Amino acid sequence: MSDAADSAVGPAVGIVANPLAGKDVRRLTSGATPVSDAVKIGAIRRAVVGAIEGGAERVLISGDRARLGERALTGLELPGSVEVAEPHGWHTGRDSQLAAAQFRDMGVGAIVALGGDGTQRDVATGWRAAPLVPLAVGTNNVFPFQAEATVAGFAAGAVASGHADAAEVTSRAKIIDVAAEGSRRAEVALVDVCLVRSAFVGARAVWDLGSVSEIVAAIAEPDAVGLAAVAAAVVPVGRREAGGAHVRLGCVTPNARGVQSDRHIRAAVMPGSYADIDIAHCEHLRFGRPVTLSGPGVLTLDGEREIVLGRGERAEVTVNPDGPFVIDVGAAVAAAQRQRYPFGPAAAGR
Amino acid sequence: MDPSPETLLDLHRRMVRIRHFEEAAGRLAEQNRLPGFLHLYVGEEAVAAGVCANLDDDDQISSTHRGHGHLVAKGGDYGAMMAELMGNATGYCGGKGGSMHICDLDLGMLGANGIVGGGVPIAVGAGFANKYRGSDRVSVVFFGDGASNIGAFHEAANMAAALSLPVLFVCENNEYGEFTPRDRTMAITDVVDRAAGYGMPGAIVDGMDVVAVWEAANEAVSRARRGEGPSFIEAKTYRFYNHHGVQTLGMKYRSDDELEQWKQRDPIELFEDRLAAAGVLDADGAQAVHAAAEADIEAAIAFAEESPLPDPDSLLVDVYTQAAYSGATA
Repeated sequence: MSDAADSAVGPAVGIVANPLAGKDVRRLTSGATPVSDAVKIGAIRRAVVGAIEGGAERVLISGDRARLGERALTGLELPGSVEVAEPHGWHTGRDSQLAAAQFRDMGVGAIVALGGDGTQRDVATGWRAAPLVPLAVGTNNVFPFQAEATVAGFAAGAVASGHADAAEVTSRAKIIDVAAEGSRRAEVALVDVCLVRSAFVGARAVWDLGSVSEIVAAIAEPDAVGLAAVAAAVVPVGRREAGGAHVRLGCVTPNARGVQSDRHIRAAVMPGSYADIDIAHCEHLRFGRPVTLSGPGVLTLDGEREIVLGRGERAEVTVNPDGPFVIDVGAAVAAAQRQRYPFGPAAAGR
Repeated sequence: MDPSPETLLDLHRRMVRIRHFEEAAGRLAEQNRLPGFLHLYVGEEAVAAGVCANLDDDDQISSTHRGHGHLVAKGGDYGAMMAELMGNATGYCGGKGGSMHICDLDLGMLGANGIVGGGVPIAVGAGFANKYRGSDRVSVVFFGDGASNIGAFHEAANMAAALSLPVLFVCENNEYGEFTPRDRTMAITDVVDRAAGYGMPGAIVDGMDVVAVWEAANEAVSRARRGEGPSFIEAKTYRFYNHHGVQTLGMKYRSDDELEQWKQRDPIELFEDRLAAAGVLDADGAQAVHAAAEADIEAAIAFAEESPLPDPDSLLVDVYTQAAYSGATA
C-alpha cells in the first residue's frame, strides 16, 4: 500500500475477506456449503460499490495470497480511492486479525467482514470495538448475518461518513475473553468457547460431539445450529441479552434417540445432524464472571480448535459486554437516505 | 476426531521413514550413485502419511513423479525401492521403471507416473472396478496443483462424481508446477474450488499438520466406504527441495525467505513437539524411530548396491505384453 494510505483521509471503509472461509473439513463432515473464491470476489466488488455510494471516500481491502481484492477490482472505476493492502503473509486467520488492527490504526470508520464466525472473531481479535457489518460468507454463521453485499457496503460507508449516526444504528455485541495460562496471548470469541477432550488442533472443526465437555456461550439462541444450540436448549441467551450461558455436558449420543433422563435434551449440533445430550450442569453467567476450564483438552473458539491445554493447565473464560459495534444494515441505510433525501420517506408520509 | 495413541505413533513412523528414504536418495544422487531424475518429497510427508494411515493393504493409490513418499507411506519395502531407483534387477520393477514408475500391486500402489495428471484416471478406473465388483476398497489419487490443469484430471473427476465412485482425490498443492508459481497458471488459488464444479465435497487442510490430514482423510475414506462417493482434499504443503535434485536455495522461481518460512513448519518437527506435549512420544522415543529408519535405509542401500543390473536378455520383457512378444495373436 502506498505511503499516502498510511493514515486515512476522509471517511474510509475497510473490507476484510478471509480467503480460507467456507473451505474447511466441515464440507466432508457435515455437508457444509463450499464457498469459492468467486463468491467472495463478487461480494467484495459489490461491497466496494456500496461503500462508496454510502459516503466512503476511501475503501481499503485486506490483502491475501489469493488476491481476492485485486481480482474484485478488475475494471471497476469509482469516484473514491480503493486500495488493496499488502498481505501480511500468514495465510491463516492471523491475516484478518492484522488487517483489522491496521485498519483501526489508519482511522477506518467501519469494516465489512466477509466470512463465518471464525472470520468475525479474527476481526474482533484485531480490533475489539470495530464498527462492523458481519456478512455471513462462511460455514457456521451464528454471529454474522445474511445481507446483500451492496447494501452492507453502503451501511458501512454511511456510518464511516456520518450519514448514519453510529450511536443510532449500531449495537454493541458481546465478546468472550479467553486467558489461558502460560505465555499465550489473550484470545477472544464472539459466540462460544468450548473445552474438547482432544490433544490436537488438527483439522480445527469439531464433529465428534462426544469429545465436548463444557460450553461457555455469549449467544445461545434457539434457532442456532452448533454447540450454541446445546446451550440454547437449557440456558437461552439472546445476542442482545446481558450475560451468557455455561453448560457442562454429560453423555452425548450423536444421531441416536432414546437417552432419557431429567436433564436430557436433543439439539441440532451440526448442520444436518442432531444429537441426544445429557446436561450435567447449566447456569446463566453474569458479565465479567470468569469460568475456569481445565486441561487436558483443546479450547475451541467459535467452533474451531485453537488452544491446546496441557494436563492441569487452565484458562479463564469470561463473557463481557464490550465487543464490536454491529451495524444494523437496514437502519443505517434508512438513516442515510433520510439525511440525504429528506423528501423521500417524508413525502410518502404526507 | 483424535487418532488413537497407536495411530499417532504410526503416523510419526511413516513420516520419519519417508524423510530418511528421501534424504538418503538425495545424498546418493549428489554422489552420482543414482541414475535419472529425482523428485524429492521432503516437506510433504504429512500428506502421504496422514492419508495412507487410513488405508488397508488392498486399498489402492496412484501417485506422481514425486512418488517415493506415497509408496513408503503405503508400506513399501526400502530395499526394493532403492534397488529400483538404482536400476537394479531386485527393484520393484526389475530396475526398468526407476523413480518415476515405481509400483507395488501387492500393496495397492498402482504406480508413480511420469505424466503429470496421468495417475488420476488410473485411480478412478480402480474405483470403478471396486464399485463394479461390490468391494469396499477405496482408491486414492495423489496429484499436484499443476495436474489439476490437465484434461485427464477433469475427465476423471467428472466420471468419479457422475458414477459416485469410492475415490479420494488428494491434491498436494505445493504452490509450484515444476518452476512456475501457481498463480501464473491458474485463476483460482484453491484447487478445491474445482471439486464443487464436479459435484463432490472438498476441503482444505493444513498439509504440514499430519493430524489435520489424517482427520480429513478419515472422513473422506469413511464416506467412500459407505458408498457416498468421491471426496476431494487439498493439502496446502511445500517441497523443501527444488522440483528435481537436491538444491534448496538460490532458485529463481521462489525465494529463500519463503522456503525458510515453510521450514519453520516442518511437519515432522511440528508433530514431534505435539507428541511430546501430549505425552505420547518423548524426544528419546522419537530419536529411536529415526535411528531405526536410518539403519533400515543403510541396509537397503547395501542391498541395492549389491544387486545386479537387469539381464540384457530381459531387454524386451515388460516392453510389450508377453503374448505379443511371443508372437501369439489375440
